[in-house]
Amino acid sequence: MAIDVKNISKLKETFANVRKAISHVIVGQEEVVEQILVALLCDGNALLESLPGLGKTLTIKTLSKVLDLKFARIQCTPDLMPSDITGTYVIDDVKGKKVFNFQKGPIFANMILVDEINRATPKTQSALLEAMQEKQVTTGNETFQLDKPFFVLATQNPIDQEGTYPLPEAQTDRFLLKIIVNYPPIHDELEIVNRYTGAKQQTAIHPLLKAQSLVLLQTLTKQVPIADDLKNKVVTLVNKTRTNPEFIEFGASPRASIGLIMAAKAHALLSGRKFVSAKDIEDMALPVLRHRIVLSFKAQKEGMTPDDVIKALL
Amino acid sequence: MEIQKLFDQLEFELFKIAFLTAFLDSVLLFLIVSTIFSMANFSPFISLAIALIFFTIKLIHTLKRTPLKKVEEKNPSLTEILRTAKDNLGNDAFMVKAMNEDLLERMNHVYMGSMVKYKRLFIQTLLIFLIGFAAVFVAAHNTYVVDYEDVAKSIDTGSIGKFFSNSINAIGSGKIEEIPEIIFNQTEDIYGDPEVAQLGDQALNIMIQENLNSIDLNEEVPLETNEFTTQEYAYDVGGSMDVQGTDRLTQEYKYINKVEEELRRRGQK
Repeated sequence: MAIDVKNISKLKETFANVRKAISHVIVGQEEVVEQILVALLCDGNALLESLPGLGKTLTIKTLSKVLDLKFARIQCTPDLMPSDITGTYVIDDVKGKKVFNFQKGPIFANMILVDEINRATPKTQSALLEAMQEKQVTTGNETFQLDKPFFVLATQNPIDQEGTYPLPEAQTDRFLLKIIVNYPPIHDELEIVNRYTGAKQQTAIHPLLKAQSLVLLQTLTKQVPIADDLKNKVVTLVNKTRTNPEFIEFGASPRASIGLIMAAKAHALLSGRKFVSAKDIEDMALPVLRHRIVLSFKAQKEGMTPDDVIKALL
Repeated sequence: MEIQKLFDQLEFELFKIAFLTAFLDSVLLFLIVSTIFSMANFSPFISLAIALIFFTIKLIHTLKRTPLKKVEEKNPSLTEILRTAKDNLGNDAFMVKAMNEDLLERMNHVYMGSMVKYKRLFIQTLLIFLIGFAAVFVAAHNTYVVDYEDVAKSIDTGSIGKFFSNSINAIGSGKIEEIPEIIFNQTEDIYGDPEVAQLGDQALNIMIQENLNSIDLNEEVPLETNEFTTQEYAYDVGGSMDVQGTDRLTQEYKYINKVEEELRRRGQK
């Protein structure tokens, strides 16, 4: 897709087509899809908190098809080893000679769904998080670069916490967004039932963007301009999370300021605007900050959630 | 760069609006102040100076109070894009260029007249006309409510009042005289400063009738005799002090003392 200064407005149309294509498979969940697209454009990763059966795998799979990206799924269990994710050396027979060949693991894809990351051991979690951060895998003496674009959607089940290894705050901070998936409303659930219990064939998904286009869009996202007073607003908001000991025990780090500005830029681009507005910051504040603050005992006792506290700060 | 030209032009337009607003306010102030001052016979240059100072302060204040955010409020199509473009001037990124193109397109449909408050402008013009007419009327009829020079001269509260009124008169007349020296009568003439009591140079003809004032010491008259009875004699003779008489006596005594001191002093000289 060639992008010119004059036809940059067509990006809005392109993203609208992407949403429309996804909606042929996924019913509702527009906000979830929007936030995943934001994380993609920011070259970041997302943590998805969802109960089972809400279409997480289907969503990410559909998105990978629409964006023509390689998809891989990793189901985390307590016995999952780091080499199961990154890959390992295997002995191969080449022309009668035994050679070690590196067998790439599922992490060598563009879009990876890591299901129930809190079930993997801390060692395995670290291997995955390292790959997310560095965009490379080191095995033995060799370093392998991961393909671009690279996106990890890690999921957590808010129930069934027995025998899990919850991600520490230092690790959750590496995720750009924390997306919460709720149950669909009744009319959406009826539509789901109609689609997936009927005899009607599912609509085929055709790719709308190439991987290189997505890389270009990620570059454009970084270039979206933002006014100085909005930058001040972001930094002030993040700083407020550190100066509110009544409800917040530990506030967000400067990574949150970077993440919020980037997310606002991506949100502006998805909305067809060429600049960041105050509404972009307000819309992205919750998914960016909710997993980066630790509530105080008083807030927890009063039954407050991180979203409640952030809304109060806004 | 086109976007830089756009912002230069925008700043110039805002300056023109601020200049017009400040100018009209200053003219209004000048007319009001000069009308009031002319009724007290003050110089018109004072009104002009006040108006000029007001104009400068008002212009600077209006320019500071008209940031880009106000322009955006008056023109919703420019909301946030104007400030963002201003903050990213000089940035050559692709998205910034695209935004600038968009802004230039939107500015074609923006009318800077929206920054002018037409109702206020109308009221100001009307007031200038009315007060201007009043000012010309007052000046043409040489109307004075009070002349400040007369007010200054009318102040007279003893020597101190004289001191200040002289100063005020001096200020009013444009020159300041020295404080007049109090002159004491150094002569033997007890009638005071001859310059103060000028009787004129007409000759006075004072006629004294001698027979009304003559006294003959040789004239004898029979002695008067009175019979004294015991009842007429006072057994107890006493005297009581009359309060009023005492006061009068004290004052007279003081006066006599003063005269004696003066005479003594002159005698010593």
